[in-house]
Amino acid sequence: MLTVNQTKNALLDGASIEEEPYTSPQDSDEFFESLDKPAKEPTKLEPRNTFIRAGVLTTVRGSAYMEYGNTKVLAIVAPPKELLRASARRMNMGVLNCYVNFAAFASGDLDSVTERERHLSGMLTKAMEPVVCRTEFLNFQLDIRVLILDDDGCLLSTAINCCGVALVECGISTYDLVTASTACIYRDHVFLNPSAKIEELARKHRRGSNAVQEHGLIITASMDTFEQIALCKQYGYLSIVTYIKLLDYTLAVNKSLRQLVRGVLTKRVKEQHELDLREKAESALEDQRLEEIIEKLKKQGPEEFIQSNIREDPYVKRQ
Amino acid sequence: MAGKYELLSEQGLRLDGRRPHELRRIKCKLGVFEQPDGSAYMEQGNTKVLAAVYGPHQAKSKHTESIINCQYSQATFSTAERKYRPRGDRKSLEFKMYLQQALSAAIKSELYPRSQIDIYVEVLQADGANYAVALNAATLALIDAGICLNEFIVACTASLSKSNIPLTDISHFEEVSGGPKLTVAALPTAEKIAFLEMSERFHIDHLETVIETAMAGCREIRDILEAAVKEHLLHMGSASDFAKVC
Amino acid sequence: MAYVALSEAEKTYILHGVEDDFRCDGRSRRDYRPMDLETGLVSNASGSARLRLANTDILVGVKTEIDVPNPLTPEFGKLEFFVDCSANATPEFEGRGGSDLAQELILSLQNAYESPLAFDYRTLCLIPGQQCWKLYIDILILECGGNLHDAVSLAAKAALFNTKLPRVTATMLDAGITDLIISDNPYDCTRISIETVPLLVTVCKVGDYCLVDPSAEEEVCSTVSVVVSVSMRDGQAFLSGTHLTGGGAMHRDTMRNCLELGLAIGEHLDRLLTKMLNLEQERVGPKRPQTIGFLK
Repeated sequence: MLTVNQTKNALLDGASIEEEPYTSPQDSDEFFESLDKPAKEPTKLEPRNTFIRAGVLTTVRGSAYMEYGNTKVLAIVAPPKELLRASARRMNMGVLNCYVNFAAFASGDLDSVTERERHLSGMLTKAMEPVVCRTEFLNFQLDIRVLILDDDGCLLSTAINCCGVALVECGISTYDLVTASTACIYRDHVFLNPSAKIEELARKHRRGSNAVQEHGLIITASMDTFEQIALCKQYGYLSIVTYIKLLDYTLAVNKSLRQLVRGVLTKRVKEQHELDLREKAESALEDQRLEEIIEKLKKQGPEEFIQSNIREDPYVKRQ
Repeated sequence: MAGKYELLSEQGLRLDGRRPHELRRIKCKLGVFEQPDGSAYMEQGNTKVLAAVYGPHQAKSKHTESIINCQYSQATFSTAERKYRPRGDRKSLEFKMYLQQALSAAIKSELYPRSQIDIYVEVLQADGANYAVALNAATLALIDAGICLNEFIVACTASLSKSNIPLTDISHFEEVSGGPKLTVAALPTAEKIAFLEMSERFHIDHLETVIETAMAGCREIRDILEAAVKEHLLHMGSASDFAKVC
Repeated sequence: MAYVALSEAEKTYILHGVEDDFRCDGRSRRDYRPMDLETGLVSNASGSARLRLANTDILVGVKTEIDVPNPLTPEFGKLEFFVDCSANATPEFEGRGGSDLAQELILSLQNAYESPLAFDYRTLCLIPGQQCWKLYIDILILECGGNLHDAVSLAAKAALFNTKLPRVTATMLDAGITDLIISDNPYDCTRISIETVPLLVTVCKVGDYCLVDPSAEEEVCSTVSVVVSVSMRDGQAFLSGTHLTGGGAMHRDTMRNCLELGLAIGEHLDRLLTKMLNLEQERVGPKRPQTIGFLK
């Protein structure tokens, strides 16, 4: 019953497990040298290998699981509930709360986990606010929870994609389907959907060389029906020309991701429909069986009917 | 540090050159902000405090009597050593309680049933007698907000030098140099003490003189505050013919 | 955010004003409100600045500390931002009420200052790999009148300009241990170069138009705004961190226009601020005018 689009476990494919992050400033240079650099301008504006499945959990109404390359994310949306804090109330809007948490086994710098969680939660809230029709649940709050199982770059964009699917699964009205992607530039090389290490490199640009080199990272979430940008977060140091260039790349990736997500959601609806049909057929069958029994009962009379239905209990010892 | 420095030199001057009974320079101004109902800025030596008053407004809880709500916070850069939290530590909670206690003695709370008055104090620079300056600033802010008071409530600190001479309005350096510190919040005209706090010890015989010194300081500060209020009112009313009334 | 309640009629009034390029206070869409700037007010801090942008009042103090640099960046010093929303601004900020807003401002500033091209962290280095300065930039919001991002970044830049780091000399002791000697002379100090230090410009979308320096009322009317961080380098404006805020979405072309507007305004603002700060610096001693906001 899995809605498999394209599953490839990179780890089983023979790729190595993410090593330790850099320990010295030289490492970052070496790492960059060791990379097989893409062409200066990317040719394929495609997302990574993606696996999306809606409705993975049975206890909540809206849930979705997504793998984006090695990044694995689980999103949960519960139906709106009444506002907990009256002070958070806004005049004509519902309140949206997003909570991002790393799984207990998530690796990386443990000290900064809470800070990163808080940062990601804030960003995710900002990204989802324009997507959800907040006017429809006035005086209510909608909680979106995200669990990060594995982080290999594009964390926020994957979380946004996953939340988009979970929202639809939960039946929350949204203005449009939201998709997000990440792009970064380092030493004039553009990386789409960068891995965690490249992201780090592009953001921090630790080697403080004197030459002005643009470096940076852009995360864009967009709703393509009306070509609206819901979130556009930039880190690093970019000129406006580069900025727009990266923005356009991410928008293109978002478009192709959108096709994918739509495919998954349509399939999910069809599947649900089939399930419903099957259930209906089964209950019809059950009804038929019951009718037959009643028929039999009417024909045979109660005494005979009971006698005919008594079977020997295999567990009772015979005298 | 205790006892390392003598608070009073042989010439009878204090560490910053003041005479024992002298206050530090006081500057104050009412109505520094527009959003709050009342606000004031007060500077006593190097201690600088901002106070804002919101209210009276409808109380959130259902008490029939009026609620006086205070908050004391200190900017992270206010002290020589950086503070990690502007509020919420024990000292600020303690000061908040003391402020509440002293101010409820001055505010005519019977005039404000079922309402709440918020008083927020922000210490921008701390150089001794923080509580006293905060209270004085709060008084000015309350007056600016037009809230009825029984009379000015003012606070002043006092200490005692080794040679048993009482000192008025002590600075941070004198505080940490190990003399006793007595804080008095008083209603000077009625000669009532609303709040009194003391740290360190001295002989009970000196208590009366030290309190009297602090009270004298209070009276002096009251006069300064009153002058400031009058000037503020003149300034406010100068558009109309208000000045003639005073 | 301090919340201003507006009726539909008031909103429409503001909206129409923006459409006609004539805002409620008479400004055009590209104008800033008047600003007052003072530096060096807080004697307990190494550097300080107070900025009043119409009703927005910000006080910034910079405090220094000696710290060990991050092993990944042995040549870099450290910066830490802290924002405190004083309850003086609005009773909503009482207790922990202002922490969400404070957090947002801290993140925007951190993001803007993150790139070493935007802020030269090497000037804060004492002994590479061993000792560096850590600057605490403590921002206190005393009154909220809209456009906090811009005001906070302007005040932070001014405070950094005003910051004086005492000169430090290192002596080698036995066994390769270095000892730092910090100069006692208050005039023997180094300054921080603020040339490339970024400014934040909020471009606010009200109705179909973009404007800068929104007042609190205009912020309520706006659907979305872009916070653009502008850093000047060799006479060219760079973006050192942008994000969308306000709970709305915008078209790519609008986004582009906003960025361009933000960059142009940022460039202008940066030039003015530098000019102001240099003027302010020259006014010492008796030439110093009576300070404007609260007494000094």
